[in-house]
Amino acid sequence: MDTGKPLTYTVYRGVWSIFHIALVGLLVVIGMVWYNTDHTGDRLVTEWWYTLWNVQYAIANAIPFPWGN
Amino acid sequence: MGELLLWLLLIAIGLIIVFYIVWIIVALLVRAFSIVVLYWLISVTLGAVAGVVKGVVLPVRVLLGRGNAAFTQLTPDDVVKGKAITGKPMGPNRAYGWDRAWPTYLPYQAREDARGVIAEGKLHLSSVWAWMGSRIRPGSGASTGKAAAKAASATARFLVGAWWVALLGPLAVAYSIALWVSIGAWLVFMVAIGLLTVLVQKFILGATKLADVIFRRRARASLKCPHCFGESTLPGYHCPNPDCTIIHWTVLPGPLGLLSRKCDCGQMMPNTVVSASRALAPVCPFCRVDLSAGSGARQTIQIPVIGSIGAGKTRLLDAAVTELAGRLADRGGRISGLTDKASDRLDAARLLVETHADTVKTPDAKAEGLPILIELNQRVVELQIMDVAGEAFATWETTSNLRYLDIADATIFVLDLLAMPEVNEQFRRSGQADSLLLAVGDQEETYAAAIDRLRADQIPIKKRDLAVVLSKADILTRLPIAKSLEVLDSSHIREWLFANGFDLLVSRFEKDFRSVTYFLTDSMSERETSDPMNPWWTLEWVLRVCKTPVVLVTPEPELETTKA
Repeated sequence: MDTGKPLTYTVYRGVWSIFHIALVGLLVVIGMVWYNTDHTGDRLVTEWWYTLWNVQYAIANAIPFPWGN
Repeated sequence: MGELLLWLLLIAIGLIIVFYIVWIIVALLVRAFSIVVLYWLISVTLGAVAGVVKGVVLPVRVLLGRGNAAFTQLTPDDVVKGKAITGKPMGPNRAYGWDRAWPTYLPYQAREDARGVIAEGKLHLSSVWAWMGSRIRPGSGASTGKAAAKAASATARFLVGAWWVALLGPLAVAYSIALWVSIGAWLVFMVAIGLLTVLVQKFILGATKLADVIFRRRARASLKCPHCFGESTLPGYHCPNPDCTIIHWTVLPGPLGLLSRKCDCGQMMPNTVVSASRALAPVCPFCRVDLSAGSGARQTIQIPVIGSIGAGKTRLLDAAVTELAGRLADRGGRISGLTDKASDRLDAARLLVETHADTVKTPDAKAEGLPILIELNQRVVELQIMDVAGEAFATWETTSNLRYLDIADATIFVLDLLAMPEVNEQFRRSGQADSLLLAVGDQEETYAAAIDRLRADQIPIKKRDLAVVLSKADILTRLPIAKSLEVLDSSHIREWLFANGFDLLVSRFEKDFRSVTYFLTDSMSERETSDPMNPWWTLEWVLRVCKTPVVLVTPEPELETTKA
């Protein structure tokens, strides 16, 4: 960026970035509150983790070993 | 037979063993694949989170000037070249194009910043995918050797590439998609807040512009160039930096700023005519000549005086301005020249009037206004003395150079009755003819040369006012013909003119102008301010007709005006 640019450019960019970070921070806080409310987050992570393993289990057992049955 | 059966049995057993081996291998591969799928699901999740976080950080880095992609920082040069702002500037000076100044951040530089963020995102992902590509194709291998070795090398490279694709592909895809989603969210946020800010900015801009225009309209402010006689509501302004030569032609709230702007040289300057007029040096947008400070933000009245050589124009102006100075001083106001030439003229006029000296004939030179400022009760008006030699009114061609006549609301015609045949006979017999310079030539022709040219140029003089000033009253009133001339008001003078053979001339005046006011003035003697023959009443009439904020007479004098 060139030197000599108006101070308003720096102010706008600074305010813009602060707004942006503040908004993201707000979203993170909202997400954390939601995560901790009634164990929603725990349930979500657990469900996601089980889903992963269920998918893995389903694929792994799609073809059983000859001695499997 | 038995041997054949044995072979068949062995083949069958072999096939069964192969079948089971293949089955076990496939089952093992599927289990291995399930682990890969599990890895993919986890890596996609982690890649998406990383992409979102990068999408949050990347715009901030770009806005802080730490991006790596090509970034367009708009400059005043881009503004002048029309690269920054689409469209032409508004206002009477739009022919000059955009001024050399920085554009407002919103929306101009903000648009470039958004493009910079997108370019940074593209550059970042291209480097990510280039790294991926270098893993998948780690080199072309040896270029010499046997065909079998080459094939083996190619296979090895393929397998390594496939391994990297399987390992990093989903991660990179998820990262890329999440990054664009995150940047997209930033863009949506930026556009939404930006539009809102631009709307607020437009409102403030409109209000500021309106306030500037209303203030100037109420003050009847305009720029009248004393050099080229061009009239405009918008002067150009020099940059206040003494080392900068840039002239700003459209100092109005707009794309270059609301209340202030930044010149290419880095100097901040006001951005409305009212505020600029207090701090900046104005320039005529027509002839580019520097004007006196404050021009354009106050009412400017040019005093156009028409008359033959020797009719008494210069004396009238000198006497009237000197009387005006005295009148202003009595009321706590003041009069001052806005240029050295104008100041010298004021001093010379005062000296001339005080010493009752004869007026030197005005040289036949290029017409130029002398700007003087009158101030009273914090109200200011610029008067421009337009004193030109009588030769300038000789023909249509010569009067066409006097463009100030085209825009004058009030015109003064100085008539020397002593030179008119109806009066001249008595004047010559009075014995004073040798001591006085009379008007030269046909005064009706002089009037016609100026007024008929205006009419031919379709100047609406019928909407304007005329003052007919009968000069040299000190001599005229001593002649027998003027015995019945009562100087009570304009209508008495008109009646006298009508009754003494000037009826055609009076009719002509009244046919040409909306209204005609008659004055009889004595510019040689010292007269009381209240004396109707004091020349200052002519100037008072000009100020009143032009509706100036400087009021010197309350209530208004009863100088009856003849309406045409």
